[in-house]
Amino acid sequence: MPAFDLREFLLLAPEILLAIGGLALLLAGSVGRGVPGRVAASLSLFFLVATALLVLTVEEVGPEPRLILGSSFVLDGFARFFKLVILAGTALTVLISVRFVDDGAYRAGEYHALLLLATTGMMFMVGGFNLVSIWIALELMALSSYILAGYFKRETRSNEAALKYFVLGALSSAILLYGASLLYGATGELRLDLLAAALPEAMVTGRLLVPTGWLMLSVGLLFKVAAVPFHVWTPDVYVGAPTPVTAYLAAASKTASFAILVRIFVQGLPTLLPDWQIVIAAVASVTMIWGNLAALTQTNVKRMLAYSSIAHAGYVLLGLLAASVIGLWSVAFYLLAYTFITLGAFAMVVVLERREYAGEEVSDYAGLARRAPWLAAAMLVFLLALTGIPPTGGFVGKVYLFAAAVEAGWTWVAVIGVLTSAISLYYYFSIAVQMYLKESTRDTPEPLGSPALTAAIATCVVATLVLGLFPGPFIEFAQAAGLPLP
Amino acid sequence: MLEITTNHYLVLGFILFAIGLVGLVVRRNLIVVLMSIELMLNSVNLNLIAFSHQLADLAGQVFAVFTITVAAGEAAVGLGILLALYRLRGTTEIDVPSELRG
Repeated sequence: MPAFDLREFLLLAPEILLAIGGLALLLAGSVGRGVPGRVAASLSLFFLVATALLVLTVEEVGPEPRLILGSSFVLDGFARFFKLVILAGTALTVLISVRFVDDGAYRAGEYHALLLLATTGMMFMVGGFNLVSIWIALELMALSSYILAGYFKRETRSNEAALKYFVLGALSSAILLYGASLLYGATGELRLDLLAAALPEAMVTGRLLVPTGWLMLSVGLLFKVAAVPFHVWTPDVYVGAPTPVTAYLAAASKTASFAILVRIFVQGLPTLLPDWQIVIAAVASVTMIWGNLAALTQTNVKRMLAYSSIAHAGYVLLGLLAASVIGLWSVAFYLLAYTFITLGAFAMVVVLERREYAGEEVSDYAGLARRAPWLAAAMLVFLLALTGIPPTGGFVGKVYLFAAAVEAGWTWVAVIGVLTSAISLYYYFSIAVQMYLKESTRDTPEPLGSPALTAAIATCVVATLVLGLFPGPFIEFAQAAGLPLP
Repeated sequence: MLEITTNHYLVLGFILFAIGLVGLVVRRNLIVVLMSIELMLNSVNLNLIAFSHQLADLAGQVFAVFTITVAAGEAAVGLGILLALYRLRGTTEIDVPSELRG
């Protein structure tokens, strides 16, 4: 057993602070009449910012990854990068939640508590280096997300979303866990690096255990990132969940799941690289094709963004498929850009949305450019970025992902990516057409902003444009998040 | 006399997992779905403990203890969601026409 130093707990200070914040909000929210929405949101933001500062100061990241607490967790550039992206995504989610939580006549304390606890799970997950710690962190994230999806507990739609998410999420967790148990049985190791070292020998002795194990593990992980054919939960959950929660699932949850998918494949299963590349190539292709085709026929903006988020999972898989240095940092860069783009797009949905889910149709955007030119311009930026048109972060990210795939010899998958991006132009711009070329009617909902929402949208627009115009420093930041390649 | 080996436990674990999987896909009552999920998680525990015994390595048992804990949390969340839905619709069947298209 490796030495166990209690002082190593200090290195987990960011996660511990966030967990304390979540529990404190939970406690405060259940005493008496609970905390007012704005107070809860401010506290939540405070804890997120403090955690981000701790990540930057306390966690010493050297050139070599540092294993802590009996090698349950690892401190490296990869974990630090994704922790910061996840915290940024959660902070923006808090901003776009303020009005929603005030409106809903539900307790604000528990909403923010669950948000912070789910984020704690994500941070532990991207820093996990052991199948046990990764799995528990994943469950912390998933269990909190199930409840968040059903946060509007008196609305049938939100409840059904929670139910569907729970049943299919539990199924995927069980499959993932079964796969993990088989890999443990074949190698006798739970630590990712030791698992990787023991795999070549295990592939000879445990001929059935290893392939079944890693395939089931992959199914569980691909479910979490919503890749086709494991995406069936996504449209319904994204539509039924409260919109800020949808944004959170599409941005932070997806980023964290991708991070751990990459870590497990690159650090835990490098021996199987040629095998999993074939699986990822197939999954990435059908994900890009089906995600974009299904989005074409959608008239509900949330559902369209759900399919768009499926399609984007396909693009990100290209970077993993390449399994090269450029592939891995382009995954990191794209997830950074995608967090801001997708949160911005969902923030726009929140602006137009009313109780009883009005304002979610594409036609509700009619004439927005005349009534609220700045909001329409912001939406246009997000649509450009989602399609991958310069000068946005979405363009830069996609270029590097496709370049990485081509460089690694997966040209046909990259070609599918480019073609399906062209298809996506059609449905993203149906919204732009409504905003700029159609006239509004009396039924069109008025945009209803709040200072917090405006701040969130402005941040997302600025970030999307800065990532597109001056990607240099951010690419360097993403390059620091590289993992050692096999 | 038949000797019980790790393989026997693995086969049992696989059968339990398959029963849970089929139950989750086929059955429409939410309580049964919750039970199926528990069955799948417990089949994993059986696997882990069998491997732990075979490898003479404690980590598998530790993993199983954590799995049991998480399964309890999962059941609590599942029952909470089930209760909220029951209050709205008065049934625990999934088949009832729903607002989400699928």
